[in-house]
Formats: sequence, C-alpha cells, structure tokens
Amino acid sequence: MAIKINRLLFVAVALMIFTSYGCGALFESRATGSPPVPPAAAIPSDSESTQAVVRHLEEKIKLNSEDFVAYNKLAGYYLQFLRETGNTSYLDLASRAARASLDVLPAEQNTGGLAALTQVEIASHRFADAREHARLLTEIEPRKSYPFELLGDALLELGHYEEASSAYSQMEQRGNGVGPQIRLARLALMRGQTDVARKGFEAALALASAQTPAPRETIAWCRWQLGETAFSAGDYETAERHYQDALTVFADYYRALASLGRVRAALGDLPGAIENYQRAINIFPDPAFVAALGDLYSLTGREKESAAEYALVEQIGRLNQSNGALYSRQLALFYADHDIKPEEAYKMAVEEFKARQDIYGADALAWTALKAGRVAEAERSIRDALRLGTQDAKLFYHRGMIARAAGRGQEARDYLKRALALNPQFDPLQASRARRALEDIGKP
Amino acid sequence: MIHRSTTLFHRRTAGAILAAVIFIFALAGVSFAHPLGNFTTNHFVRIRVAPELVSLRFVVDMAEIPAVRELQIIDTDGDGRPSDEELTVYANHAASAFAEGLLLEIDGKPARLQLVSSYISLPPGAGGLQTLRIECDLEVAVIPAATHRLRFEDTNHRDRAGWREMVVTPASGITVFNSSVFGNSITDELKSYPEDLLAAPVNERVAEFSFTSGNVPAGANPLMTREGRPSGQARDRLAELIAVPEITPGIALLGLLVAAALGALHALSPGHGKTVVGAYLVGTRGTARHAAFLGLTVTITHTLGVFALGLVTLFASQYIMPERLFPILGLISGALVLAIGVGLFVSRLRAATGRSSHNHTHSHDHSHAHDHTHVYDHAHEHEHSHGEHSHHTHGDHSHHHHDDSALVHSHGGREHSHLPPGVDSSSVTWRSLLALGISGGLLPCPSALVVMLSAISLHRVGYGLVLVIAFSLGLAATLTAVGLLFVYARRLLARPFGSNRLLRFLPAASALVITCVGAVICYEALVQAGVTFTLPEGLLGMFAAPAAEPGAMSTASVLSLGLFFGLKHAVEADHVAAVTAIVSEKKSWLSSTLVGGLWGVGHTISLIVAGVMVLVLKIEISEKTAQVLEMGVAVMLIALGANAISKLLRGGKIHLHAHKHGDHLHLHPHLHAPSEEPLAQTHHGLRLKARPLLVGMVHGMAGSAALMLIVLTTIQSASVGLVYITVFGIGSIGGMMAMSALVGLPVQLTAKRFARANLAVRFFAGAISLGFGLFMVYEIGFVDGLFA
Repeated sequence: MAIKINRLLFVAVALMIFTSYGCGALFESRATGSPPVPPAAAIPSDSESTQAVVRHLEEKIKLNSEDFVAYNKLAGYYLQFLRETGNTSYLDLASRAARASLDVLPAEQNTGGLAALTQVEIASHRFADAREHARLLTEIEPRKSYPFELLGDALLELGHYEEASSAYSQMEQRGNGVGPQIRLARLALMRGQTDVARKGFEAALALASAQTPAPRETIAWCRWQLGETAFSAGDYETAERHYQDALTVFADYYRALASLGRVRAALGDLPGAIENYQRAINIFPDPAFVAALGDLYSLTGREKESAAEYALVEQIGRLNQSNGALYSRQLALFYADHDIKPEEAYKMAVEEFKARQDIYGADALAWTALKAGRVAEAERSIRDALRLGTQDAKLFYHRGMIARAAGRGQEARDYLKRALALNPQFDPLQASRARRALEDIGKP
Repeated sequence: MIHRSTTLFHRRTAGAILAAVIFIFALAGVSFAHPLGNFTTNHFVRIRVAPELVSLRFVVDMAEIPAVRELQIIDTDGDGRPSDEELTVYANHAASAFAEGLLLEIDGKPARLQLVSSYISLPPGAGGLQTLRIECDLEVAVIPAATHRLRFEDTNHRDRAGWREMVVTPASGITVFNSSVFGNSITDELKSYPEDLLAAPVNERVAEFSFTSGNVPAGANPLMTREGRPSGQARDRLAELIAVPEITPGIALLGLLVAAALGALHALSPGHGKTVVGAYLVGTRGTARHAAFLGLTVTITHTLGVFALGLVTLFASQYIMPERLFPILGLISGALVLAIGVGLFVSRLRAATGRSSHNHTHSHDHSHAHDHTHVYDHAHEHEHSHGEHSHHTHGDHSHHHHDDSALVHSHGGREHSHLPPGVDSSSVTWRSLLALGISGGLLPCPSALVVMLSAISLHRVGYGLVLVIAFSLGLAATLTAVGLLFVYARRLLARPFGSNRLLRFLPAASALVITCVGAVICYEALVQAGVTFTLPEGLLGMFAAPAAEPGAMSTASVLSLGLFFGLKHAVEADHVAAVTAIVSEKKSWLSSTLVGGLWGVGHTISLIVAGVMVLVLKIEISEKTAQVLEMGVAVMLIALGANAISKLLRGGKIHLHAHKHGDHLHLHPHLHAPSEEPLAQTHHGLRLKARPLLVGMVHGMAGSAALMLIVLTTIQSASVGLVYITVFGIGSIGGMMAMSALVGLPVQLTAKRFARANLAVRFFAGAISLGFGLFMVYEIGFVDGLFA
C-alpha cells in the first residue's frame, strides 16, 4: 500500500508541476479573436490525484515547517477545493497556509504567499485588506498581470469602479488569458454591456477549454456565467442549455444546479426547480438557495416545508453571526423580500454598506430601507445602485417599487415594465409581485 | 500558485446574481467545529474482522445545518422538539436506509449486512443549534477460510460534503494486510476533529483489504497507522506495560514476564530467521552451547538495535525517517544471511562433491560382503565407496552407527568422521554464529521500539530498557529453542537411518535453505523500501508520468526500462518452474543455458505476434481469452512436471534394490548413468530445441494480455510499442538464460558424482513444476472463476 501511495504521489507531483507550468503559460498566451464556444464534454474529476498531492504537501510541511513553496501550493489547492465545494474550512486552511508561508519568508521575497493571502482575503470578504496586499503585489511585480487582476477584484468588490477599471486596463496591458477575459466580461456586465460580457465569457471558455489538463471548475464556471448572462436577458432556453453544459462538465457543480432550478421555475416547471435546488443545497446550503426553495414550496402550497426552509435561512444567518461573519447581505435581502424583521434587515444592510459601497450593497440598503419605511434613503440608494447602468431586472424592480412608495407613478410604471420586459420571470415570487404592482399602478 | 488568481474570481458572480455567502469561522470561540463547517455530513466506519464475523460500526455526524433539516423530519407531530419516540422511529428508519447504502463484498461476492443496533443523539453545536449523531452497528457472518479479500464502499450521502473516515480493526488472531485504509482513527469516531493540523479533511469512501487467520503471504504490506507505523496488537499490549500509573515490584516483575512472553511469541511471527537458525544448526554439528551463544547475540543485538533506533527517532528523526531505516536494516540482515548461506553452500557443496581428499582417498582394507547383486556397469565406486558400507555386514571392524549420533566411527582403530570437513564441529565458527545472531536481532521489533519511546517520554528509561531486554531475551529464547530443536531433531533423524549419505547432503541443503531465506529477506526489505517488483505496478507507476506529459521520458529510457522489466519478467515463478523441469533433464550446463535462451526466444515470438495483433491490427484480447491462455500454461506445467518425474521412474533408468541387514529393510534406488542410453541422448538432442521454444511461446501468449494492457496505456505509438516488446523480449531471454544456468548448476554438479542426489534434484524440479501447475489451475479455475 505504502509503495502504491508513493508511486501515486510521484505521479501526482509530476502532474502538478506540469499543471503549474501549463497554467503559468496562460498569462503569456494571447487570445486571438473570439473562438467559437466549444461543445461541452464531461471532464473527469482529478480530486483523487489532487488529494494525493495535497496529502503529500501536508506531509512535506510536517517534516519541514519552513517549506514556503509547499505552503503556497497548498493554499492554492485549498482555494481550488473551496471554489469547487463551497466548504469554508478550506478557506480557513488556505488562510493558515498563506500566513505560515509569509511567516517563513516575507512578502517582498514571497509573492506566491502574498498572492495566496490576497485571494484568501477576497474570498473572506476582507476586501480592504485585499486591496492593500494587491497593491503591494503590484509594486513587487509591476510587470505581471495577476497583481492587477487581484487589485481590480478588490476594488470592484469595494465599489470603486473607476479605480477597478483602471487596474483592469493595467492588467490588460500586461497579459491576456482566462483571468483577464472573465474580469473584463464581468465589468461589462455590470455596465449593462450584455453582448460584450457574453463574448468575453465565451472567449474565456475557449481559452480554458484549450488548456491541458482541462480546468474542470473554470470551464464549468464560464458556462454557468454564460447561462447567468442569458438568464438576465430573459433568454431562458439558452440559459438552460449553458447550465446543462456546465453540469455535463462538472456534475456536482452546485452553482449550476441552483441556477438550473431557477430557470426551470422561470419556465414554469416548479417540481423540476425544487429538485434541482434540493440537490444544490445538499452540496452547499447557500442561504439564497434555501430561501428560493422556500419560495418554491410556498408557491406549490407546501407551506410547512416552506416555513422550514425559511427557518433554516435564519439559522444559517445566526450561525454566521456566531462565527463572526461580516457578510449578512443575503439574510437582509431575505428579510426584505419576505417583509419580516425590517429594522433588523435595514441595520444589517447599513453595517455592510459601511464596509463596502458596491452597487449590490447599495441595492440591499435601498430595498431594506424601503421595507423599514425610509423611502428617501431608499431612493438615494437605488439610484446609487443603478449608477453603472446595470441591466438587471431585480434592480429595476426595486427601483420601481421604491418609486411607487415615493408616489412617483410614472417612474414606478417605467421601471416595473423595464424589469418585466427584460426578464419576465426574474424571480418566482418577486416577478409576480412586480406584475401585481404594475396592475395596481395602472388602476387610477 | 499565482495562476489560481485567474479562477478565484469565480467566488463572486456578476449581474443580477448574488454571490454565494461565505461563512467565516472564527478560530476561537467555537466549541465544536466540524472539519468542513456547519453544513457537513460526516461519516465514520470501523470494520472489525473476526474469524467468522465481519462487524461494522457506522457513525453519521451531521453538523448544524443538515441537522436542522433532519430535525424537521424527525419532529413528526410538529411541536418543535423531538420526542424520544420520534427519535427512535427516525433512528431505526435512518439506520436501515444507511445499511442499504453500505456495500460490502467479500471475495468478490456481495455480503448483506444485518443491522444489529442503532443509537441516536443530539450533541449541542454552534449558535445554540443541535447536531445529530447516529451510530449503527451491523454485521455479517463469513465462511471460515484462511484468507479473504474484502471491499467496502459507503455510498450514503454521496453528494454531501464532509469528513469520510474508515478504519479497519482485526480481532485477535486475525492479520490484516494489503489494506487501502489505516488501522487507527484520528477523530475518535468523529468525536474530536483535529484542529491545529494543516491537513485537508479525510475523504475515504472505499476500503479494500485482505485478512487472514493464517500466515501473511510474503511481500504483503502490513496494516499501517496514519502515523506511518505498522499497526499491531502486540505493540499495544507491550506498550501498555510501560504506561502503568505506578511501578510496584509486583507490576515490574509481571511486566518483565509479559515482555519476555511477548518477545517469545514475537519470534514466532514470520521473518525472524527461525528457519535460518534451524537450518544452520541442523547443517552443522551445533551444540546447546552454540545455540545459547546465538541467543545471547540475538538479545544483545536486538536490545542495542531498539535503543539505537529509539535515539534516532528521538533526536534525528528530522534527518532520518525511522521507518525508512526498517527496510535498510532488513536488507542488511538479509544480506548477512545471504552471505552466510552462499559461503556455507559453496564450502559444503565442495566438500560433499569430494573436492577434498577425505571422501575418496581413505581406503578400506576390508571386503564388502554384499548380499545382493548389482549390475556393475555403472559408476559404482561413488555409490559404494564410503557411505554405503555402513549398511552392510562388514568383516573385521565394528560399527556402532545406530547409537552414534556424531557419525564418528572407527575402522580398525582409526577414527574419522563421515561428514566432510567444514561441516563437522569445526565449521561452527564463532564468527558465523555471531553474524547469524546479529542478523536475527538486527531488525528491531516495532513494539519494542514503541516501548522504548514511551519509556523515554514517561521518564522511565531504566524500566523501559529492562522491558526491552526482557523482550529481547524472550525473542532469543524462542530462536534458541528452535535451534536446539533442530539440533536434536537431526540426531534423532540420524539414528534410525544411520545413513550418513542423507546427512552428507543435509549441510549443503541447509545452506541452500539459508541462502533462499536470505534472498527472501532482502527481497522483502527492497519491497518495503519502495522497489517495486511486480511488473504491472512498476510499469504503470513509471509510465503514468510520461503518459500525462509526453516527452518527459525519452524513448531510450522507456526502452531501457523494457530491458529491465524483461529481465525481471523472466524469473517469474511460473516461468522458472517450467524451465526448471526441462533443465533438470539436461546433461550439460551449456544445454541448460540454451534451454533458457530458447525459452526466451519462444516467449518473445509470442509477444511480438500478440503485439502486432493488438497494436497494429487492433484486436482486443478479452479477459476470458487471457484466462484460458493462463490455464494453458498451468496444463503445460503439469505436463512438464509429470513428464520429468515419469522419466525418472521408467525406462530402466532407476530401479530399487531391497536388502536386509539386521532388522532393517533398505531400499536402494539406483540411477544409471546417462551414457548408458545413447539412443535417448539423440532423442533428447532432437527435442532440445523444440520443447523450450514451445514452452516459451505458450508463456508468451499467456503473458501477452497483461503486457499489452500496459503497453497500450502507456505508450502511444505502435512502433515504439513493438520496439518496447522486442527489447522486453531480449531482456527476458537474457534473464532466463541466467536463470536456467543457475537452475542447471545443482543438476550438473550432482549428476556426475551423485546419482541419488541428482535424482532428488530432478524429482524436486519435476514436483515444483507439477505443483505450481496444479496451483495455477486452482487459482485460475476456482479463485478467478474460469470454471464458475
């Protein structure tokens, strides 16, 4: 057995080194035009070999607690596991590995450790720290593109869109590849340039698919993101196809499962929607998924099960608070969507908005402020949320409802119509509320 | 790891979609943190194997979030709290559902687990929430047999994230080996998860292992602990001795006795050179004094070895891994034994074949009075010169063989030994005894090492040392006892037969045994050290990397590997058995060697034919076909063995003489010199080339399926594949030539002078082939199920 494991490890390590070089080259390679979207094919999980590599690295660290290269590699693998599974203990492990690496060798000589730490900070929603470390990284390695990717990411999450945009253009000057492509696509989507975003994600997908070995999670993510782009434009058939493709690549991809549930609901297939959400939640109980499942149960008359899901959303929120999490946006929105605990929800949104002023933070603040009866603040915030021209039915819906509360019927009617025209079934529960509100406004 | 940043972005989403929430766990302040967070479903499985029962403990530990969901199901009356009754109903239901998902196979056949009991509890979790813990005990009866292979898979909650831990625990008297899982748990059945380790969660979903109530096959990997040490019960028992809270004289005495007993028992486990000691002493004229000296050497070496290794573990483990030292020590020990064996074999064989003047120069001034007639046209002087006269009535000098265990008698007042020099008492050199003792004690028993280490950590170094010495003494006592047993067994053997003919070859044979044991010890040490001997594993391991990264391994190195594996492949058991059977009939060393070469040529021809079929014509070899081909090899081995033996028994080449002296009836098998049969010789000359070639071809066909699989999975181009096969074939030709020359050696050495020994060797060769063939028929036909 031991022999076999050793053999496996050697192979795995060889593979890993190969993988690292393969991906390293990615920064150098330049995308030529926008290749067509490759067909989806199942990519076998490499978790067994990856796990063997991880165990090997962990053993190395036990033998030599100063092996910073092993720490850096481990941090990378833990972050990959985190992306694949959503298991936050991997975040904790990645954080410890990155810090241990930097304890051995300071950031100036240890860009790998610093990059890992920055990624951990972004994943932990400590964006201000991430911004500082990314900045330091750009100073140490001014010619590489990845420090600017990370800097742009942190700035984007903090809501500093102009700075983020300039960081991304620095990034663009220094390299192209999957990373830069998806970042530019994402910024385009926020700016309401849906076609630019779609092309960007397609380019990223083509680049990722051309890599060997194929990065399973990256490819699935790109396909899922294409689905999200199509869904936001109300193109449910295309969206469903992309989600199915993502699941072909990576069968247990919880993001695609949940989105597939949502698009099934938009197409009127509530049992199918419920099934997909249940599968997603089994893998990763994201409160947004749980709340959506509760809504679907409620719509199909399963009130008891619906109440149980709603209770679970609150309990997850409570667990997060007891664990010291700062991020409570989803719980705040859940409260606001279901007209419960409006004051609490508003306070949560205010607290979070102090830390980061991104457009969705502004939207959460606006929506909870409306429910808490602070219409003026809601109006200010929702304009703030729409400042980039984002084409998002939910934002339009919120703006319409706030305008209605403010007594501006015309504006309310405009935005509700825009929401429903863009994405008629943007949410199983809220879309019908939007429709009802529009009818109410229509009545003199 | 820089490139990870490219995909990190995935954590957040764009447009209308909210990012997935990140749970952040504060490192402090959480009383009971699940390894993967609050939403995991964790499993633990302990498989306990007893001689007739496999029992299973299955534990499910659900963290807060899944527990919330399950509690909603449990609470059937909707009062918000689970009653005992509701919990029991749920536990029974859940346990039977889990049992469905626990897949157990014993020897390839599904075994249905019976649920014995289940238990449910709700330990408090984070945030004032409850967690859920379900424990189930299941079992299944096993048909008693020596060895079983077990495969277990946990398919419950397949898509849920969580810790998956599996452990195997053998009951006393059972040994687990070649296991994919470890012998100990790090979570105490999911009650405490490791917190400060930088370690990704365990993910063990399948367990595979063999267990036996008998002996573990050579080369098997022992069950290990997660810390990388062999997991054994003896170690625990011994380690307990040191960990007593207080040492009173009574406890100390008891501890010493137990340690000695454990040492004595430990010596009986495989691989402690019992065979070597026995073979050595039986081949020499060892006395109790020698045996005692041997015991002392073993004790001192073992004690020192444990101490040294303990110190290494304590102070130098940063630089040297103690477990790495084990195979090295094993290799040294094996090399010592091998050297002793080879040295003894050479000197004894030389002595036994009469290179010394002793055997043939002493003249008898008496006449032999034979009461039977011989056909005196065969080489008689050797047969009758010396050994045999003791059977007959002699004229003027007295024999007292029947009470003379020392085989010393006098002829007319002259005393001499009938054992060749170097085999009688003078050969028990203190130096070789010392070497033997060191080889027996060099490899420290892991349990003794654990005692030493716990003694040091408990500040009971003195007591620990005494325990180790007691343990070593016990070890030595067993080895000494085995040695003495052999010494007396030889004397007893000598008495009724009185024939020193048998005894003359006993020393040489025992030296051969020692050599073989030495080789086996070396082999096992090398296996432990990571040198892979089985072809598929080695090849796959070596080739997996180039398969993933073309060009990393040059064609030249692939081919040189082919040569190496070819050499190694030649000396596999079924090949050696067949060639041995043929070689045993050969008259000259050259023709023996030629047999091996021809075998290799035949083998290579088959492989190339199969290679063309598979690589060029893309014809697949089915598993069934492969089995049938293997069966062909088995039948061939039986035929070769039977042929070799029957040839010995027929054709007037051998005949028996019966004669009586005193109360003893003797049978004299006689073998005629080959020169008597010029016709047969010609006959053999004709078949010399065809038969080994054919045998090699059959072997090649049978082995081709396995080889092709490897070639196909590792080498992309057909031409490189064919070249590889050819190089592999050349290697196998060379390997088999060397092997057949080696096998031919004892046959040739004995043929000229000792017809009887030659007969034995040839019979042995035939029997090996026959026996191995029968074994293969059983393995392929019944174990692998060709006949099923």
